[in-house]
Amino acid sequence: MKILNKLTYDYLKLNKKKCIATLVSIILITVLLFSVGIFVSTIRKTALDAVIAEDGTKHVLFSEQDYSNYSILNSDENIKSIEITCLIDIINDELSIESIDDSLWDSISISKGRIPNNTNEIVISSAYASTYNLDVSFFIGEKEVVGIYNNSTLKNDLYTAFTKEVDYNNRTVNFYVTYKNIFNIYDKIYNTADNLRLSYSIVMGHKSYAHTWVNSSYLALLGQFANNNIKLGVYALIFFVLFITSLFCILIVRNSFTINLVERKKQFATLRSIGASKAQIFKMVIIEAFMLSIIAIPIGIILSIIFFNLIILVFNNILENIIEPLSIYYYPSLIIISLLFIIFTIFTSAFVPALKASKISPISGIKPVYNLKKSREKYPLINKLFGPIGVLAYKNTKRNKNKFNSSIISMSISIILFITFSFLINNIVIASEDVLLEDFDISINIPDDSVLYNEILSIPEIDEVITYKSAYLYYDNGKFPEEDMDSLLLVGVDNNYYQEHYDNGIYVINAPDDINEFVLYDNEYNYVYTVSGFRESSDMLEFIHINSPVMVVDFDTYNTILTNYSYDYVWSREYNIGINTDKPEVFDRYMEEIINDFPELDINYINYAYYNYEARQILLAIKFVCYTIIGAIAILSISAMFNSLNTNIITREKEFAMLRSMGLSKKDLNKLLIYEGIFLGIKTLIISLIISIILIFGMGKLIKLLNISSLKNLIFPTKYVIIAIVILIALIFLVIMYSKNKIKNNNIVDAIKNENI
Amino acid sequence: MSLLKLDNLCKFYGEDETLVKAVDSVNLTVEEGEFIAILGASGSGKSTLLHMIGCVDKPTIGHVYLNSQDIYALNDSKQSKLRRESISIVYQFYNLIPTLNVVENITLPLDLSRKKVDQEYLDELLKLLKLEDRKKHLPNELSGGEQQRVAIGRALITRPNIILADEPTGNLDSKNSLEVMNILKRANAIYKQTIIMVTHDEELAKYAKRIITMKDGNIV
Repeated sequence: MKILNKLTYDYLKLNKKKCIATLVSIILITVLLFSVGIFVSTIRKTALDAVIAEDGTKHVLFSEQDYSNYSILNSDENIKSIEITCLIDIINDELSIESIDDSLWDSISISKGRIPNNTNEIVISSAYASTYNLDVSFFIGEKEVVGIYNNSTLKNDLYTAFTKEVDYNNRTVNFYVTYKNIFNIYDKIYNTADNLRLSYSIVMGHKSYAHTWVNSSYLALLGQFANNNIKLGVYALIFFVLFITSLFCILIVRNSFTINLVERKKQFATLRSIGASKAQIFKMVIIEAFMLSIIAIPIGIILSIIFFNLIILVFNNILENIIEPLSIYYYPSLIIISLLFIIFTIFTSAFVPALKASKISPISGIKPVYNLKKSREKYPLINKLFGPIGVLAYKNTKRNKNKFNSSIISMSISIILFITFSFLINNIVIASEDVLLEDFDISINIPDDSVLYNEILSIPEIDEVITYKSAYLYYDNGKFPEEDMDSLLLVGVDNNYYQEHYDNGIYVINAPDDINEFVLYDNEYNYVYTVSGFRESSDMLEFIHINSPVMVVDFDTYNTILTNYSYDYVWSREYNIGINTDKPEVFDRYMEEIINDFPELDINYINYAYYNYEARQILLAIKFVCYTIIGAIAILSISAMFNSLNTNIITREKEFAMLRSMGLSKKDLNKLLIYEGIFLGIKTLIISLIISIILIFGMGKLIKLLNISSLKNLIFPTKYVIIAIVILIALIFLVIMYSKNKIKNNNIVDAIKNENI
Repeated sequence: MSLLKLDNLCKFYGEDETLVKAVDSVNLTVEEGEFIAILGASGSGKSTLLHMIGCVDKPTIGHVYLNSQDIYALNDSKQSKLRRESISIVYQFYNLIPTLNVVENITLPLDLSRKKVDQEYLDELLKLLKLEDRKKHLPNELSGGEQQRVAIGRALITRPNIILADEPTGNLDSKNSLEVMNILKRANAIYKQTIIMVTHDEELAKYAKRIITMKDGNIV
C-alpha cells in the first residue's frame, strides 16, 4: 500500500492548484458544520442556564397536596426524588412562611445571612427587605430574619419567607418531583397526576392537570415536549435542516473530488491494467480524502472559532447594556458530534467518487471509451433561436448528461438551500419584529374625557395618532347569541381612521372558524346587526393582541352599542391613544404637566421609547446573526456552483481544442459556452425553483404544526428568489469568462495531446 | 499442456446494421517460451485480440484459457491478481506513472502485490534494459526509447507467464525500435519469456519465432 500512498501524496503535491478547490470546499464545510455545532452548543447552554436560573431543575410541582399522598409518590418507581415545601404560617396577612426540605436550600440563593436553624428563624426576599427596610436580625412578628435571598427557583412569590423543615403529617404540602429518566416524561407525569387523582383539561392539544406545574421550558431544552405536534414539528425541522445541510456539504465536497478524479482517470486505468485491484484504487481515493482532511479540518475549525468569536463580539457589542454578554460554550458532546459529522460528510463525499474510480475499466486507459447518447433530433426551435452553435450546445448538454446533471444537481441544491434558509430566517426576523416591537412609541390610556383627550393631542411632537376605545361586554350564562361564548371585546376606532381603512361595515376579527354569521341584538335580544365580514386581526388592527373574538366598529357605532344595546355587565372600558413620534423623550415632560393638570383622572401613560430602542437593538442583533448565516450559505453556494461549473469546462479542454482545430472560431466557442450556460441555467432554475416552492410549502405546514402565533403569516422569500436567480446568471457568465480565458491561452496541439495521466 | 488457449474468441461492437466484428472466432494455442508476432493492418483486430488476452477487454463470445483456467470466469480481484502476476502488457504509449521514478515504475506491480523486490533480478533487468544510470529519473526526464524500456522492465519484473506488447515500437524512431526489439528477443531467449507482440511492421515481426497474420478479425 505504501506505493499507493506515495502516488496519492505525489499527486496532491504536484497538483496543489487543483487540490486547493477541494481543500477550500472541505474548509468551508468544516467552518459551516463546526460553527453550527458551536452555535447550537452556545445557544443551548445559554438557554439552559437562563431556564435553570429561573425555574430550577425539578421536573414537576404538585401543589396543595395532602401529605398522605407522599406514599403514592414514593411507590412510583419512575420517581427519583420528592422534595417538600409547606405553608405553615402567614404573618401580617401578606408574608407567607414556608417550611422547606433541607435539600431545597440549594434552590435558594442567600445573598446575606444564613440558613435558618429552626422554625422561628426565616429568610426573606431582598425585594421584601427593601420594601420594608428590613435586614438580618430584624424580627417580623415572632420570627427572626436570619438571612436574605435574592433568587429562588421554587414557585413562590416575593412575599414568601422560608424556614426549616417541620413535621408534615396532616398538613397540606407541595411536592417537587424529579424523575429518574426524562424519556417520555410527560406520560410519567400524567401517570403520577392520575395516581394523585388530579383532574385535567385539554389545553392546546395536551393535558393540563390541576395543581400541577411542569417545568416545561427545562424539559423542552432536554428534548421533551407535552404536545406531540410540537415535538414532531421540532424534530422534523431539525431533521430537515440537518438533512439539507449535509446533502449540500456532501455534494460540494463530492464535486471537488470528482474534479480531481476525472483528471486522473487514465492513471487509475493504467494502474488497473497492471494489476491494481478495485479495492486498492478505492483506498487510494479514500486516502486522498484523509490526507486533505488532515490539512483542511484543523484550518476549518480554527477559522470557525475565529468566525464565531467575531459574530459573538459584534452580537455582544450591539446588545451592550441590554443583555448579559453571551459567551461561547463548547459542549464536548456537541463538539464531538459536529466533528464526527464533518468526518462523515467528507468520507461520504469521497465514497461515490472512490467507487467510480475503482470501477474504471483497465481498457479505458488504453483506448478511449465513449459513452455518449446518440441523438438524431434536430431541435428546430433551438436552431431558430440560437443557430447551429446553439444546437451543438444543446446536444452537448443532452449527450454529456452525467457531467451536466452533476452541475445541475449541485447548483440546484445550492439554490434550494439558499432560498429555503432565507425563507426560514426571513420569517424569523419578521416574527421577531412583530413580537419585540411595541406598536406605538407612546401608549396612553385615559378615561373617556374629551378635554383631556384634546389636551393630549395638542402635544406638538406627535407624528401619528390612533385612538380607539374598548370594552368587554359580558352576557350571563347562555344569553349570548352565539353558542359557547359569553363575552365580546368591542373596539371602537376613531371615525376617520376607520373610514380610511375599512369600508363602513362591522367586522369581527378572530371569529371562531365555524362561525359564518354574527349578529348583535338589542336590549330585548332581538336581531339588529349582521356583521359585514370576518377578518384576520393582522389585516384589521395590528395593535389588537388577543385571540378571542373582537368586534370592530367606528366610534359612533361603539357609543350606540354601549348605550342602547343589551349586555349584562361591561368590564375594562378603556380609551387608548397610540402615538408615534420621532422625539419620544420630550413626552415625559408634557405628560407630567397634563397629569398634574388632571389630578382626579386616572391616566396610564407608558413611554415605549427606551423599550423600543432595546427591542430594535435586539432585532439588529438577531438580524446580524441571521443574515450572517444567509451570507455564509451564499458564499458556500457560490463556491460550490463555481467549482461545479468550472470543472465542467476545464475537464473538456481537449474537446474544445478539437473543435478549435476543426475550425471553430474563438467567437463561436464563446457562443457555444454561453449557450450551454443558458441551457444549464434554465434547467437549474426550473428544478430548483419547483423544489424550493415544494419545500417552502412543506416547511410552512411544519411551522403551522408548531402553532407559533407570531409565525402565522409566512412570507414567501421573493427577494431571495430574485437574488438567487441574479447570482446564478452572473455566476454562469463569470465562470464562462474565467474558463474561456484559461482555454484561450491553451495551445490547441498541447490540449489535444494532453493525456491527463 | 499449452500455456494459452483461445477458444472461439469474438469481440463485436454495436448491433444490427452497425454491428462491427472486430475479432471473429479466433482459435489459437500458445506454448510456453514462444515469441509470437500478430501481424496485420490497422483495423484488422490484432490489438483487440491482445486486450482480450490481457484480461482488460471482455470478449463478446468465447474463452481465454491461461494454464487451463478461463480468465474471464474469475472474479475481479482474481483478475487483478492475474494482471499483476501472470500477464503483463507493454503499451505503445508507455503509460508510465509520471510521479514515480524509473525503479519505482518498474517495481510498481510488485508493490501492488506487496511482494519484496528481488534486488539481484532488478539489477540484472536494469542492465538488460540499459537503464542503470537512469534509476532515479522521472518519466519526463527520459527519451521515448528509454520510457519504453522502463515499460518493458515493468512487464518483466513479475516474471509473468506472458508479456503482451501492443505496437511497442509504434512511437519510436528506428534506432530505438531496434533496441526495444532486441531486448524483447533477449528476454525471450534468456528467461524463456513467452511474448505475444502486435505489430503492423513485417520487418519487426521477423524478430518473433512465429508470425500470425490477421485480417478483418480473423487469423489467415
